[in-house]
Amino acid sequence: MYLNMFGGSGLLHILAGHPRLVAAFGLAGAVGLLASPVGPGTYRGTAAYASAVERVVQDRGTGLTIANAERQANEELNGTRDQLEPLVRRTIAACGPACSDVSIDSVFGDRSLLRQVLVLDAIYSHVDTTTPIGNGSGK
Amino acid sequence: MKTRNLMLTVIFLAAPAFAGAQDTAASPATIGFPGSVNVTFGTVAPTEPGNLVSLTMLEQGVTVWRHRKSFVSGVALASAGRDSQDYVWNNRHALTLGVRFSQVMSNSVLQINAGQSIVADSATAPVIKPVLYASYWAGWHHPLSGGRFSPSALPGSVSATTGISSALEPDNWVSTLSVDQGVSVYQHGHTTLIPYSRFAISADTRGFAWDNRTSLDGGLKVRQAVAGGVIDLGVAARRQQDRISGSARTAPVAFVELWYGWNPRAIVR
Repeated sequence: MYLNMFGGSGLLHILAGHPRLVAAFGLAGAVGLLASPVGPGTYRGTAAYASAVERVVQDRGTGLTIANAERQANEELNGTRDQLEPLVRRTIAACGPACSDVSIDSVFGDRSLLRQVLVLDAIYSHVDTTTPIGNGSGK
Repeated sequence: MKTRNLMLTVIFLAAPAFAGAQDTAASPATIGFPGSVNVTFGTVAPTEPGNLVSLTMLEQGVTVWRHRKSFVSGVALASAGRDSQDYVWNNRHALTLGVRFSQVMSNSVLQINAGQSIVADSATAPVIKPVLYASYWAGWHHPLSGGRFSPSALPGSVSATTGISSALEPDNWVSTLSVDQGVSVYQHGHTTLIPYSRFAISADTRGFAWDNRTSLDGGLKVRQAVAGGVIDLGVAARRQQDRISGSARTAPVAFVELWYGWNPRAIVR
């Protein structure tokens, strides 16, 4: 058995590309939802499944959460690395070991990814610390 | 009886309909089709000097039940082994139909497999016997704050299997353990250069030479990560001990290992 925990596609990238999923289920819930019996990590089919679930849950009132998170992330982007690094670390830590293939440096080296991670963090700080809109099946 | 057991397994594989019903209420009901392919090729056994060995394993499942990170799947597994020196234990073909329970944890997965297996090798007619075995895998990465030319991570893994895993050895309980630890010293894109060390040991209850070996690697591999998979090309100095005969040999080995996994899912309306 040789499982792909660090296969390069990056669970964090998939979550970053599907903020509605995180808004609906929470960050930990979304990670759990995407879990596979093949093992931790991401596989062919994970991103497509995330998109399909997003379409199913799009009427759960996630729009306002995402709009607020994007506004907050755009403001945070003006901050220094010292100010933003704790937020990035918090998001990666909340995602868990399956996100550890993405380094802090690589997030700061990709401004688009950095913004997406800040959006995730804003959603995480709102949804995961309050009541998830979804039930967070992976928790 | 054997035919009946095989039929029951096939019926189970073909009946994923209640998977969705077992999903939680909040997440959409889905049916998953997890699978993977694993290929190893190279001069991997110093106690078999000059022997070029290949092993290909393909598995395809249907998730019939899920609760959070626990899964039950019907699964079909096919494996084919070949070597250049025609050792019986390296030239086996097997097809197994069975049921798998998977428990995924944060960085690991435990699997329990049960089923009926049809196996043939170069010396034996096909045999159908039940198999039952458990496997465990855990991996870690430990990122370091290094630059491009300094260590950036400490990737490693441990894997273990135990049980009756071959229909050709139906009364032989085989256990294996492998620990791998590397250092990512250079990374460019999805390609990583990793000096590594690996310890592996296997044991069985029948005392077959090929199931009672210990090996230790020190080597270098290039890892190419692709979406959903990973390819390792490596060279190493491998010391392998055959504990039944007492022989031991150290030799250079070269290998290619490929692992690729998938899990497409369909949402049940």
